[in-house]
Amino acid sequence: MGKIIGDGTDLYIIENNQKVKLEIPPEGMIGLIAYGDLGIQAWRKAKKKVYDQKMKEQGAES
Amino acid sequence: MINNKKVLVIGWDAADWNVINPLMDAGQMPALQKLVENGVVGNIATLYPPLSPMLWTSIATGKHADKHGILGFTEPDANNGGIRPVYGSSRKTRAIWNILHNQGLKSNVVGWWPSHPSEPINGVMVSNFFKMVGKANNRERPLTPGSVYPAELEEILHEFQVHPLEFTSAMIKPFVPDVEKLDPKEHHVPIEGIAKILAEASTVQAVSTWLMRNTEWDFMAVYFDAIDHFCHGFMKYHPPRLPQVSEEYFNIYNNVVSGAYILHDMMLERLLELAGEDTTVIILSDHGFYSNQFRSVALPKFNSAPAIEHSPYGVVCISGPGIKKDERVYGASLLDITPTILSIYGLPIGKDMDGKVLQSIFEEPVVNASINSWDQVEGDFGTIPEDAKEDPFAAAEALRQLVDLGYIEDPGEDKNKAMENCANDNSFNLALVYMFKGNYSAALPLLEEVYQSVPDSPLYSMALTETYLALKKFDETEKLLNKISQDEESGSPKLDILWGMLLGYKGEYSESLKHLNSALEKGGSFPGIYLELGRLHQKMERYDEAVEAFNRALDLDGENAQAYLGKGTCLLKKGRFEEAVDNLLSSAGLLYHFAPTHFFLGEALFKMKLYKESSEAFEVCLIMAPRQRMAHQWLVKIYSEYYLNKEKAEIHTKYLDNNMSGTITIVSGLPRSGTSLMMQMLHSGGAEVLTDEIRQADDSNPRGYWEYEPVKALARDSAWMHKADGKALKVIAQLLKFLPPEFYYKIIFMKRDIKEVLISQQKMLNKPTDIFPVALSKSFEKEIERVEAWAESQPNVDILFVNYPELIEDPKMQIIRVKDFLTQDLDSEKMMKVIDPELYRNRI
Repeated sequence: MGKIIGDGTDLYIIENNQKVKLEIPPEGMIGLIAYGDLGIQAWRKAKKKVYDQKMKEQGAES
Repeated sequence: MINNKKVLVIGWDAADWNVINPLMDAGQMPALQKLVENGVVGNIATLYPPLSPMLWTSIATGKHADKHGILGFTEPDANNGGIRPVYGSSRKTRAIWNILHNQGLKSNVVGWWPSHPSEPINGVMVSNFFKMVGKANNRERPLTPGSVYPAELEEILHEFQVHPLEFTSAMIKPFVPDVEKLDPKEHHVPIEGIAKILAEASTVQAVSTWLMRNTEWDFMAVYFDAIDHFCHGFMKYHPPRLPQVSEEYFNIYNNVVSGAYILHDMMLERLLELAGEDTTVIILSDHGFYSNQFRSVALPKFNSAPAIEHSPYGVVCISGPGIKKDERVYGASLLDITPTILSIYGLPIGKDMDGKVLQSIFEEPVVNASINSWDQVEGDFGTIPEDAKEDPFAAAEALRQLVDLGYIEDPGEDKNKAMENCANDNSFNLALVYMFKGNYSAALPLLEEVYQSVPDSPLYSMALTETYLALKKFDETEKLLNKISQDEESGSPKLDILWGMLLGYKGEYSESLKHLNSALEKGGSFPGIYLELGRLHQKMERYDEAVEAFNRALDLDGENAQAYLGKGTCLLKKGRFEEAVDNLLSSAGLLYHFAPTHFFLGEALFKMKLYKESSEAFEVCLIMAPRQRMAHQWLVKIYSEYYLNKEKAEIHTKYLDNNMSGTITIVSGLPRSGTSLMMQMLHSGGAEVLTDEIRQADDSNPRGYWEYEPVKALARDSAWMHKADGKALKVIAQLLKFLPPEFYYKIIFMKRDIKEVLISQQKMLNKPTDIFPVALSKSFEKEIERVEAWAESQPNVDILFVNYPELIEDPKMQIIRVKDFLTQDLDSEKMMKVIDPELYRNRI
């Protein structure tokens, strides 16, 4: 597995000198805890994205 | 000189190699595996009592709890009444981060237990209260004041506080794969418990990684309590399944403990990545956790009961520049961590620290300077100002957690009662610390006080009994044991062990054996019973049986330092010196800080003619027990005659000159071997003798027995021995081994043909002399052999054998020998006049 880096909101995997954004499942995964601050931030961002999307859909429905 | 090294300490509370090794073998802990391969690993001996706040403070200070002052989970809360979780500010001595602060080094400390309120150190401190976010309905809880230093980081770090409610079933699945199928009503408590533990670990990891990425640091200490908490909750479900655990629950929760370790390995990988390869990494636990047949399914109800699940050896792994690779470290103690860290930085060790530098971990030998005490150094140490405030809300939250974990009773509404219980528990814990250090005199008043306060506490009464026993206060022991026996209907195995110990001390061996066997019947097999059985057989000089008992203890617990010690000392007595050394080294490797092990190791090595190694073992013994006179005596002997070192011999001679109580002449032998005659001779020759003439002269000894009544109880009480200083005293052969070590002894040992001795004894007892007691004869012969071997191994003993028939036949020559031996100017003529050949009546 390549090296994982984060920028405070997203996590990326570096493989073959390529920086690829990791898709974080909103329900989380245990590796995010291990990754510490960046993992927690990325997870919360993923959750927020889903939440915002849901709110948006609810707003549109109402 | 301070260097620019970086040290990262990672605390994994309760981590244990017995769980780690199978996971590493299966490739499930690759980060730790890499560290192990590139560093030194070993067991690390815990301290007693094994209560985490006390232990982590010992780790951070290099001192026992009597010096650092953290004495339990809680402390009386003087400001608000009742009790509160123990605060870091109650620590009485400076921690490693205070010392580094004083030396201009930057430290980050996260979650150390106890570390609230945060100390204003050069760097960042996030206290152990920071991670505690409570349970449901409290997601937006404000930050605990005082939990972050410096305060300007509060806002940033608050973002990394993770709440249990954030955890989804996807995050729980690695621990409980079927979590989604579980009935929430039945399983919400354990599942919420897992979420809470994970949330706190996530907080510590997130804060730590942020600090590592965003601050400059020389020293970083991160403490995780998750393994301990997972183990207390779920070790009972860990494979193999215990018979008391249902298959259903086993299938649901059997992965929790392994999952916890795997998570910690993943977190470790990230911490190592951020620390960089130039950092020295120390991973350690404060104690282990039983994962075998000693696992508990249900705990007894008393404060600190969960600590009985803690095993005596934690883990230590150290890796980094200048540290040996892929090697083992032996005999490490929690007390050694701070001295070793100071050594890595090139800083002096405090002489008041109880630990040592782990010298063997370094590729190149390190030279350690020392100072009397870092506590005596003037200057800024980044300690808490006296007026630091506490947060009652945070304290209550932390207290709740301790109640939930079963460490303390729910204090309820009665604040005063809670305060009283807490004060008692802390006094009791301090007493246990003293007992662990062998300082029973200091433990005694504390135990008497708490026992008086709560007489029905089995914990207090048992500890008090043990202390009475150790101090040889047999009457008090018996009184207390009788009382406990009355209170307990069936009697516990522990009670039987204590009765067994008392009777063993009193020399009532067969009764003692009955109690120990009864303990075995009541309590099944556990190492403690076999240890006591081994010790009893040892006292009875039944060394084969003793070795067998110690082996049984080792079968049950292969890491039992006391069992190795017992076995080693028995093998030493049997003259199997190499095996003795092997066992004593195993004992020291497991539990280094125990002076008797090094003493016997010194003796065994001496017997193997390894004089240099022997002297080293005695020197180590004296570091731990500086007043051990016999170790000083051995060293005088070794440095004067075998491994010559005049200077060192003088140091120990000087100590003995100042500390030995005096010299006593002992007249010994089997009864009826001429001991009374020798006493008379010494008396007539002008020597002072100690006798009370309670036993009057009779036909068997028409000139008296020259005995002193208290000698009969020498095995139990030798406090009177100072009365014999400078005098001659009659002690039969069988009691010589009970002579207290603080005196030098000149022993005149009377030898007489065993047959003559026995006939004389038979006559004295009005028994027929035509039936020769063969068994008794053999036993007496063996006794003489034992005395000879014993005398040879006592550095404070000189022995002269005087043959009774030769004394009668050629008194002049024997008197010269005696005078030379005693270097006393005795009157030979008067000594001679006492000898009456007619009294030599049972000549063969």
